[in-house]
Amino acid sequence: MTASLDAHILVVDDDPLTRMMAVEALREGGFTTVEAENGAQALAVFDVEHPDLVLLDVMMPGLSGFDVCARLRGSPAGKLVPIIMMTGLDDSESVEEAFHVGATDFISKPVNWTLLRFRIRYVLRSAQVLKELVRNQESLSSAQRIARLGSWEWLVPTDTVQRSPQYYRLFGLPAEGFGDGMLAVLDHLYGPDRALLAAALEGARKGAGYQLTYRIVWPDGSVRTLLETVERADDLPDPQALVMEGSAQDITEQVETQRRIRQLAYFDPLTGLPNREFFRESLLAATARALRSKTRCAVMVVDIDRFARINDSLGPERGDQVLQVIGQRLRETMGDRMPAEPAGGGALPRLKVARLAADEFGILIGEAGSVDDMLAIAHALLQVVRGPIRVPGQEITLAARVGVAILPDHASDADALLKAAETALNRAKRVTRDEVALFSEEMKVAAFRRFTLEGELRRAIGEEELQVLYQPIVDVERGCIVKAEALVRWPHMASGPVPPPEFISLAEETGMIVPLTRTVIERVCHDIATLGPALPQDFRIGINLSGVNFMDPQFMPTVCAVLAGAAVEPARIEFELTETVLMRDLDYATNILARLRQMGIRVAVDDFGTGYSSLAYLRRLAVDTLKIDRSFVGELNNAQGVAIVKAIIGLAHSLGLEVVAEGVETTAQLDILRAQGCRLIQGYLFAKPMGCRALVHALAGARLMPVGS
Amino acid sequence: MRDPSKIEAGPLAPQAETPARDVEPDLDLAVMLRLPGVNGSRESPVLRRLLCLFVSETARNIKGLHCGAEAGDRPAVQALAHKMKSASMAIGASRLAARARSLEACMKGGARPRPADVKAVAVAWHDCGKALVSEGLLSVDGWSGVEGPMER
Repeated sequence: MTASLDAHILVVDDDPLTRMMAVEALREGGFTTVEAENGAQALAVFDVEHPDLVLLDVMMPGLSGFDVCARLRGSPAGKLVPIIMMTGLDDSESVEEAFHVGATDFISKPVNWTLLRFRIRYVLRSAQVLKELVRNQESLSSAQRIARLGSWEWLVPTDTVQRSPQYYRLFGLPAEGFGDGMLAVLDHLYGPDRALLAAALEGARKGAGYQLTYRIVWPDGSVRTLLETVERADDLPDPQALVMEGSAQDITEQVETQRRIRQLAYFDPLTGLPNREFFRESLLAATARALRSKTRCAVMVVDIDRFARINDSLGPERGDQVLQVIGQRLRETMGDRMPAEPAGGGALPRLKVARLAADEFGILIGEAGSVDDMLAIAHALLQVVRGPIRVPGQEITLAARVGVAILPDHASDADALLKAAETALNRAKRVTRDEVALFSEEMKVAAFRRFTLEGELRRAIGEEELQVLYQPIVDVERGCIVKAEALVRWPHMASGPVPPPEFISLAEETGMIVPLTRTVIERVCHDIATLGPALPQDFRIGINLSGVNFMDPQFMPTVCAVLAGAAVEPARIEFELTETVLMRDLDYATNILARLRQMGIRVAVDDFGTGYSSLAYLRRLAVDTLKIDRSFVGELNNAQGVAIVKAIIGLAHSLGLEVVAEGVETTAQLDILRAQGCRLIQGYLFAKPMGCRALVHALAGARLMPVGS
Repeated sequence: MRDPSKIEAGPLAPQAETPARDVEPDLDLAVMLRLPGVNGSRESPVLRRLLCLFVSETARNIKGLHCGAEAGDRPAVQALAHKMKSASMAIGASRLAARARSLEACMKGGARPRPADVKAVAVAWHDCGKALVSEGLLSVDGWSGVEGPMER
């Protein structure tokens, strides 16, 4: 009974004698006291002294003991304090009234002081327990508030429900606005979830617990998600005493976070379409279904033709808009629609269209028909992509290619199926230029060869198996070799020469072009250093750079290091870049070209006329040479071809640039080029690519004449 | 060895002029000596203080009863009678307590207070005082100081 030891007691009686006796009795009991001789004084003293207990006389002039008791109970500080009222021995009315106004206990006069001391200790102990209970309830209530957790208890036979204040708060409602009985909750439910909870409650009525996520509608119309767990409160088999208890937690934010995580993980933020990961998982499920049910399943990969051009010419913002339009069209064509989600989110929906890469879309057809049906769908998709797209200021028309693969015809699992469709697409892009490409065994072989070649190329670069040949560029007026273009060749010791377009495109795709180009620059520098004085003054060697090389942040440091290492004059080198590479990031190109020019390295625009042929960039960039693409030279047998070449030569001359014609094979071509003022000629007419020694011979030889003349 | 200051619980000698129905003693010493802080000792300072307060309060209440009765103020008489009843009973002035209770009951019943009603209470008080003096719990001076007004 430690609770009573230091207790401070307020003694209220208008009779000083009773007060004196009470004070004395309580002092003997180990309590401290404070006195009041009337009701008003009692209330004032209570506020100041905060006693642990009040011993209160009933009959007093002014405020009676009942009035004092009632007022104390009405105040926050006096709500729980124990109050013992001193009543007359035979005054049952007072005893009744004392209970009514909230007294904790009563004791009859004349007071048995010994009994009073014991009674006070009992009352203080109860008060302590009550206080702890209230504190626990409060902390439970705060915990529920913080965790947004509400609880209820359902006495099933009478349909009496005791709901915690916090439970009502979960619904944004006051207790009186909620409704009576267990089923009242259904009135606040989000329509689609109502039947689910009604069924669960029907089970609970028979004693079955449940855990359920459902959505509710607040009075302001907002929808929130609750997770409710319900159990039987007792183990009694008596259905007449069945009590179920439940706790509900607001998990709206968690559900939303999960939804957003899922959105980020599985959907492309630009088009809103599923992303590659989603596609892969859907594909895994679809292929498993198809293999189980022995049906077919198809994948199509749609690639927008030369999409980089849109980004380059109209800016990435317009490019994004175009992708959004295409994504939307594909989705509509395939009839994809996001299904309504169940409360708490559900499994991944079945969607057919996904964005696999920047300008690549994937189509998954779960129950594929015949090959012809699939090809028909592929053509329909192409039509959709081809439709004109309006962006502010202009109308764009795109072309696309589709790679198609079918399980089990072309692959036996999800990854292989996607890979097959991509292989078909890549083959169409690189080789056949078909708009719709169905995967074939031949492609598989080619793809395998490419895969094998990748490892071989890596080895070849490391083991210096690659050769560098030089194709002379002749000044036909002076009749001598003034430049040469370095060309890389791969003789391949085991399986014979690999065509340059094949291994160079492979090197570009895999990033191996960076070490490959470094190898070429090193070899060229080595040869220049070896030949030394054998090379004429102003003789330059052209080295081709791919876009990957040009954008590589290590490019400039590498060039400087290799030149310095071989002690080669930068003026001996001319880098050859295509228009497309230069146009990709004009600011970057301007900067790099300016630095190259500062070093003394010249720059030639390769394949001029096949790209943008923008006059603006030619003026802005520090280029020195234009190389007329062999395709134009090949057209010199007609008037149109002549006109184009004439225009290029005129342009070069007027900008003060050197002009070189590539791929010159006939004297007729040579004559026309000379007539138009193009004196630098490269092609089989004069010389094929040759080794370093052969080049030295050629340089030292007599005046160069066309082969066969 | 028996402590002469401690007296066994039990009624004192009944008063000669007490009517036959007055079964209560003027002073119940046993009750008095069991009061908080008294510890059965007649010499207890607490007892002295209690008695001093009892005498002065009761004398004032008796005066109040007379005034109330003369003025016919029933609630005042009833309240005073109630207060005296409790205090007297608590201290062991049993007969005084009984008279006060009768008066209170009478007032509760709605009767108009009369000086004669107060008289029985005053007589009981007088006898109680005499008992206190004879028990040596109150000095003669202490008593005459409060008795005077009643005689008047």
